[in-house]
Amino acid sequence: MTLRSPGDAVLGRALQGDTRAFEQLYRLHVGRIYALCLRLTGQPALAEDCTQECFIAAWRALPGFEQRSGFGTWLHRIAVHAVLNQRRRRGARLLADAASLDEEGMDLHAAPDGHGTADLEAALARLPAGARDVLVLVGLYGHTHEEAAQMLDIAVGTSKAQLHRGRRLLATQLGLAGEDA
Amino acid sequence: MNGHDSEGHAGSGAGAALDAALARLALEQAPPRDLWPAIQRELAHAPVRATPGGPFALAASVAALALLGALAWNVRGPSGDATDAARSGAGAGQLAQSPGLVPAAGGAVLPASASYGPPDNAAYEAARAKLERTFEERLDLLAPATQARVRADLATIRAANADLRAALAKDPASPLLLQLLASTWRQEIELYASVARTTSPLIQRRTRT
Repeated sequence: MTLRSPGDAVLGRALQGDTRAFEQLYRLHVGRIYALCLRLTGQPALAEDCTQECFIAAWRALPGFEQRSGFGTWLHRIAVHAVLNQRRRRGARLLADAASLDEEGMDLHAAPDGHGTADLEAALARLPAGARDVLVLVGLYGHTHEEAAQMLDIAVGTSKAQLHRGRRLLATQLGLAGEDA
Repeated sequence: MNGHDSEGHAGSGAGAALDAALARLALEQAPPRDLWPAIQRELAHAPVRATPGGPFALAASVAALALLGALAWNVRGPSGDATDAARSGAGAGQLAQSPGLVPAAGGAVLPASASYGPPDNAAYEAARAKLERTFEERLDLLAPATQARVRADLATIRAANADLRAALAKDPASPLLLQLLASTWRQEIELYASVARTTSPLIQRRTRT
């Protein structure tokens, strides 16, 4: 393992068991992980649980981190796994039922130039879980279909189909012209 | 994280509008409260704490350590390098720096060339079964609410274990899944040992009276 940047140095210290270094990594990544979990679960409390579970699991698995992927991508994998575990444990009803969404908690901050992002977030939350998972991972966070498929334990073809479905449903909900989105 | 294909979506008007809308969404949001203190507590929690608590606690700890050692001997990623053997103490990091050695639960130092998964030898199974029996007997000594919480934790660990084994059936070489699976075996044993430790003073009092 070759460490180059200051971030690498923090990661290197965390790999040696330095919890303060791991806290720095947590501070650096928690916003992205929490937002991901919130979009996948639709519930702030569950998103908090998954975020905590993600970082605890990451700490335990850290000695096995080989840096073949970036640390952020690796964390995303663990976060998605935590969400899927929560989903299995608590039952899909808690996550798939859009009516149960905590609208206040789902009020993700829009980028400064955002317009209609609240509508988009609400529309995303209303998507079926399978389509939403892929759309969030691929369409929003920029993972490849291969990465998303691996994280979600689905076939690459299924990931592509779910993305297409998610985009079409989202475009329909938002009233965008046509259904070829 | 790049190169995701839009499968021809971006070229259409609706696709472009959707892409533009998605691009405006924030990718980060701070959680409503600081989650670090709770995480830190978990990190600081040693897998097996050899707290002095009399012969019963010692016996439970020794049994758990033996089992954890057996588990750790079976832990290895496909690449054969560092594993997720638990970081159990201040010296774990330094131990991990030794070529070919990894820190394991209970402070043991193990060769990095062990293999993954639950041990399948008869001695391990017998020791594990004994610890589980002790766990079941001692659980009744705890308050009902605590019992319920412990049982819920155990169910969660076992569900996660089942999920991971199912996932591994499809992706048997995944280092992450293997590591997480190993952690579920360890957590189960730790839970057994924790209940045994907690109830040891009660057993001792009963023995004296």
